[in-house]
Amino acid sequence: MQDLDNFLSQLKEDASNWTPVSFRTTSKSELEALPLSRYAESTRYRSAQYRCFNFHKPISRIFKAIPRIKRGSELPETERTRPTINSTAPVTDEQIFLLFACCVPVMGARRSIICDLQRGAFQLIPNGLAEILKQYRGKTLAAIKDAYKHQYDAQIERYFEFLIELELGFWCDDIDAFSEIDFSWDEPERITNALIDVDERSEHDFGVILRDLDDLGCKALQVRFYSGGRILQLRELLTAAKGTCLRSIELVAPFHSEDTDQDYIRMYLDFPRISRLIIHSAPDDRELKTERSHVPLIYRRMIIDSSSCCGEVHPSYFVTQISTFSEAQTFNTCLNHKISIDRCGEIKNCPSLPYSCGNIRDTSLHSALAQSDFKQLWAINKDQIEICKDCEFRYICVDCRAYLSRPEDRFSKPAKCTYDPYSAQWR
Amino acid sequence: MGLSPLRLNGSDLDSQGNFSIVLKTGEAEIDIEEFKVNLHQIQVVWFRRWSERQPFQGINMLSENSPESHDVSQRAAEHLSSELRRISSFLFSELKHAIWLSHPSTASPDKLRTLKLAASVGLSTPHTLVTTSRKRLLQFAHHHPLITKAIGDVDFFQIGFTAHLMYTQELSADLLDALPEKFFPSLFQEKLEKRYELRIFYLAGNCYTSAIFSQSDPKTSIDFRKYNHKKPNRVVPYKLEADMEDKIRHLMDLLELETGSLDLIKTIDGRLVFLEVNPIGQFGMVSSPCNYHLEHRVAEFLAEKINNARPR
Repeated sequence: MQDLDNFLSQLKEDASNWTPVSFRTTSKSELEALPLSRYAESTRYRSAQYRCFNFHKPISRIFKAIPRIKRGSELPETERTRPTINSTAPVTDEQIFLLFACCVPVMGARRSIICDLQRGAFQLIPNGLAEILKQYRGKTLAAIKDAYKHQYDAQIERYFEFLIELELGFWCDDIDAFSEIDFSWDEPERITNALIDVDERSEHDFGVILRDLDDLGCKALQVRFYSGGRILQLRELLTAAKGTCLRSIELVAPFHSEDTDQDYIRMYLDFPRISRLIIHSAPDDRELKTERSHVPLIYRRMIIDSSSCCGEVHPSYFVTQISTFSEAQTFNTCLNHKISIDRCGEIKNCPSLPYSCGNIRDTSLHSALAQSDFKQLWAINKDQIEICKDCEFRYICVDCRAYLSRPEDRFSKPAKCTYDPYSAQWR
Repeated sequence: MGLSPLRLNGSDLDSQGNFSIVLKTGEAEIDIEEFKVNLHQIQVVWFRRWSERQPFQGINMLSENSPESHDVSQRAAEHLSSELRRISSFLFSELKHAIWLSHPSTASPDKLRTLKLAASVGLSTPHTLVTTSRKRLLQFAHHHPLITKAIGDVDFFQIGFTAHLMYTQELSADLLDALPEKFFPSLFQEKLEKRYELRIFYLAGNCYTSAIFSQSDPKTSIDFRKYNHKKPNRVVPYKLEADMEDKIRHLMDLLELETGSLDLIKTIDGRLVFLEVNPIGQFGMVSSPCNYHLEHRVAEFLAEKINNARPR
């Protein structure tokens, strides 16, 4: 049984244990300053979110807990961040520790995580702790100590103290009333998310496409302009989306010196469906907060000129959310219920995949979707994928089936993932 | 399910909206932006809340300096609000033929009556006092620490960018001292020491229950609606005992409600105390953290209603 504090300090000593190279180079001093015991990894990734862009999967913002209006009666900061939940040691050995049902342990080959699906974070833990949490759920502290023949009593107590401190669980008196969450996935939409690629030769009729997407129930859309994408064109697209059931639209477009910050901000205000706007090929890297403060305008120097920009696997793309976690139990976290149109109008599951189910010129999205091979990758979940099935991040990671480590094997690991779950190292 | 839904917002039918109502012989049609709705084709209505905003403060019919200016503009605003209410009530009456879940006129049980009925079916309820007298209140406060909350519905005003909500408030000693001998009729209840709260979405005999750990956060310990967005309260699935579910079904039958959201408190000493039922409570906050898929359950329920109503 690994000692917890030992585990945490090892993480801290060797950054390759818990963070990919790209992060280490961008903010080394910041990394070193981080306390590891408190959600360090996840907070780190979340604040770094906008260094990279998740091209795989636009996610609609349905239940996201963002206050739309500032409330008049906010408490002062000090009161809000005070440590909560009875963070005391257990009173007796007869007590039962329970994780909150939204905090789910997932075991990997070498270490484990607890996915906090409610607060959108994860915590790295040693496998020994995950074993206790999974195998001895609902058992008293005494029973657990017994099961380990009293060799690790101190470690076990320290484990629970740590989980209480992080508010991942509680000492429970009425264990029968608290069940685990049923992670079945159930969405009414035939398509939940869509990706459309555009360049100067594209002849997409957005009116028709958006009408079809609306009919399929699509909630989230990402449109990537490799060229073009002037503000007028973006506005035309957004206007066509009015009245549809789309909840969020992410736009990726190249920089044009004629289109100013003000133009973009005005567009944000006119179209509340915009969830993110990324301007690539820009002269500098910068972010601009808009009046809708959760929607930043992002400028990046990087050039995005083809669908090969996609397929990255990276902690900043991890989605620690109940809907994704549920979907990952049965389906592919990227391709399930996704439809896309590539720059030439080919209708595919993903623009980077080689096969097409027809061209938008003469095929409707509905008939492409009805073809037998359209959904062939939808049900490949992480438990079936080599290496990924042993990875602790498997239910929060957005998969890729287009760029594979062994292209001839559709069950091989994503080519652009640099994590090795057996050594627990990011390369 | 093969049904075609239409969403109507209260704001679609007020001065913010873009709509027309056309009366033909014996039929009414509403055009809302591009939609045309023939009200007689609507079979079932799921009703959540209907906004009747009052964005009319700016109406000024007299010159700024006139002493009556304020009164006149206030009266005008009242009149315009009542005009809007007429439009809504026309819409509701035109939809009388439909099956409602739930109709606004029937779905507003009185809080005090609900408490009385809850006690009658064997649910534990908090000691409650409505009074205008400081003296009575002090006698009551002698036995328990108190909270106060609205006797009826919780209201909501938005002024500028700030929302003003009515929350449940603890009655501190200072507050008690500051009260005059006689005050506006107010509701007081014993303050219960919470272990956690239960929020139950009830639909046609089924209880979908969640436990909310609001107690541990000082921000939410009196009223969890003062959400802590940075660190949301833990909300997890919860299984009620069968006997408790029976009592709740009995209460909802007495209230003639097919659906509603119930609030209960699990006290430190292990009692489960009923607080109130909100007939048009939102269920997203129960459904989403517990993965109950209540949207699906509600849609199924409505579809079944339509099927049952169809002539065979």
